[in-house]
Amino acid sequence: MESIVNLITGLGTALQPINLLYCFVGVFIGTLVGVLPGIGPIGALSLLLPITFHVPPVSGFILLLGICYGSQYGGSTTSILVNIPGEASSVVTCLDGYAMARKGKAGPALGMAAFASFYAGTIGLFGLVFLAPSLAELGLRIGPPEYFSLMTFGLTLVLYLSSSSIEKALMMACVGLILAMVGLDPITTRARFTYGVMALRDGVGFAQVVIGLFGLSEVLTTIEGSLKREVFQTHIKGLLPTLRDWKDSFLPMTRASILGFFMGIIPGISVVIPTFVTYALEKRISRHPERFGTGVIEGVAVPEAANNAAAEGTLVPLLSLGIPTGATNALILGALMIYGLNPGPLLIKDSPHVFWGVIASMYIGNGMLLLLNLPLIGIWVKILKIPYHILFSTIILFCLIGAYTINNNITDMYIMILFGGLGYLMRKFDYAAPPLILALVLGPLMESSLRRSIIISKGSFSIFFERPISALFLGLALLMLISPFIARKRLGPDILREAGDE
Amino acid sequence: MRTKRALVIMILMLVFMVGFNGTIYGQPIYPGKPVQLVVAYGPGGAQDIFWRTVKEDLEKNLKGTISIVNKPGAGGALGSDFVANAKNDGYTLLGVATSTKTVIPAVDPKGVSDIHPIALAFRTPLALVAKNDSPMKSLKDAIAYAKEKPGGLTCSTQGIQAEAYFDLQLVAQAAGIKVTHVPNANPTDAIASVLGGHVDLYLGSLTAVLPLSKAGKLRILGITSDRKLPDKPDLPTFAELGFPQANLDLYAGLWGPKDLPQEVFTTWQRALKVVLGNPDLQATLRKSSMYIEVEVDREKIISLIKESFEKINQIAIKEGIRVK
Repeated sequence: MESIVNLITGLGTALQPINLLYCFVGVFIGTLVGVLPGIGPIGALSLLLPITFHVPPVSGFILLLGICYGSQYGGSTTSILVNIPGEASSVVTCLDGYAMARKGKAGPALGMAAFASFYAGTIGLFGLVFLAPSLAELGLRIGPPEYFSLMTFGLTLVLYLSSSSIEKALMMACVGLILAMVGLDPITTRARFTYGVMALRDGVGFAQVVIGLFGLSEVLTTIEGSLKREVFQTHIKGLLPTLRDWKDSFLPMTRASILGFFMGIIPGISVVIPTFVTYALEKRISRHPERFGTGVIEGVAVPEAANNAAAEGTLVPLLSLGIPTGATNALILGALMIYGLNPGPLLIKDSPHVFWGVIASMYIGNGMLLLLNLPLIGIWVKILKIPYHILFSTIILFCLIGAYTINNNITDMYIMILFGGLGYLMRKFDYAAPPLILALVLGPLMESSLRRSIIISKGSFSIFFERPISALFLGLALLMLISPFIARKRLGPDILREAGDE
Repeated sequence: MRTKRALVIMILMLVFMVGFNGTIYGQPIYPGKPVQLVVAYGPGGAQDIFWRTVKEDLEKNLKGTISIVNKPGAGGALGSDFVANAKNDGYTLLGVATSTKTVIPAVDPKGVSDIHPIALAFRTPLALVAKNDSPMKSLKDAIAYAKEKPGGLTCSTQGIQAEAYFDLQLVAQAAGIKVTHVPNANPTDAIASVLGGHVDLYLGSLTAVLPLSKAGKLRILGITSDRKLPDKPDLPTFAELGFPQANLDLYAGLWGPKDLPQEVFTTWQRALKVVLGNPDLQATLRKSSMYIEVEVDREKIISLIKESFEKINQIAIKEGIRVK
């Protein structure tokens, strides 16, 4: 009850015209940087940081957070339209979103992405208001052994991320894990597979690989002429999701929002992993798993709901403990310190008007984003009508800029181009990219948590089974692996065959 | 036709003469164009926040523009290399910590870049923390625990590429204990592990742990500072606790490629002294545990670096650590 009273007081702060303006500027910039591939929220945040020093802390905070969640909204746009994830958290959205666009349903896909984001934002916000302090402590119980078990569970989901053969999906996952080994060893700092290249010491960057595998290879494949132009032009069917789309998406995106939020609370998980996990789980429990990847609306709603809910989940440890998840939150934490706000467990007590004002502004911002994004759909869809020679040169340009701006480093561009070529070959021979990407995301965390656990346990592997949460995740992983045999769930070749029958 | 060509040539010559105006009529004033300040770490870190906080005041003082560019990677080596190879005209400078000249040469000679200090600007002490409800209420308790159960005490640091690991070893050596080191390059994750009770201690930047200690979630057992912090007198220093040698902290400043013009040195040293002398700015930065300590004397900087390097190198050799 107290939370509701506080939230209403917070609304008073958030609704002040100047704060509304900052909120709008924040979500607007967020949408822009979200749409542009590679140019992420971090760059925008650090550029705007000095400006926020001159405004009241609450306004500055509202602006910065607006950029963060605004970018989660915008990230899906290029995923759907041109198969390039605008943000890392929109990789999964490419799978069904782009397939929908190819069927001429870009409008409904964009619309559903916006609605799912809004819906998940709402659920996440309620979670934040009512559960934040108690949940933060729960997230801390995830230590190295639990991380390892959770990552193991995550890895079993690669089986559900490929529409072709399981063998190929597993091979790609192995490639991903090997790529994840590149760089300095997390424990002994021995250089592995770096071949003397300084930039490889931090490992193969996930974003560079994604831009190459999705964006550049898409262009290469299309140039070859395998895709008929008319598909895009002739049937742009409606701009908004239909009632049927809503019915199909509602339950999956509710589940994705809740799961995404809880995963976001765990420091170290961030927003990318939840999109993969929720997508794979939905495919697992779906009655028609064979249609995932061919352009189903749930395939767009689920990852978009998951990344927004997870983004709000990450605010739980940030606001109640002062523990940032990911670089974006770390930057916000730094800003709060400069404002003199004392971020951490005392923030709610010391500056309640800031805390609740910001929470309330997020709700307003979510609404603004919906209003901002819906009219834009019509404009975005027109992008597909741009002649190929212009569209493709622009895409390649953005891929290059995007890869460079990650670390302002030229080597990242070479890595992107390399993976563009590899992605092209993978498409040619029908190897799916998502298992590779999931393994690349999970790999480093999985390895370092495994080795840290072993250090803590002094070499004993029993640490993974003795701790209840860890044992639970390992049990789930086992269940995931054996359930296809028990339930005779169709996977791999069967899926392909059925999809062919349709 | 010929007159037209002649006219074009004359116009071109005129344009060029106007263009070279600056060089014809005396030296341009530094900085005559935007200075690119490369921060060798990602956005949101202490160094990044520091330069972004002071940027505006510096610009006013220098009457020029500064553009901050983050070039993170390989523990600062990528950004440092970039600046070391940049033109030495004073328009590409570097924000990096002394660790590039103290820790890196000891553990990773390949990662050393040819950069030279212009001025050192701020220090951030490192803090050793335990969970508040841990039985280890002081450094003494922790040492007693480690003596009782050799290897039983776990402590996280960011790894061997930062000062914290060496402070930990300096304390451990002096106390005659063995601490199980749990490297974790991600400070947030390392702190979460201590809060969750998975690892006993964490040694790292005071900035990150201070709010949690104020809130009673973490207890600060000691900090790496030669003197008591003026605004936080309740924090015990390692020196007070009997470990004066464990005083390696983060000391960051402004660097450039070799053979910079003298003018660049004087301009920046003067600007930094004036801007960072502002008590309001100092108070703001203190909140993030950044303590201004401007040092422009080249000899002093070099001897300071040498002293830390020797301390670190000794441990690196003894523990046999090296990036391979």
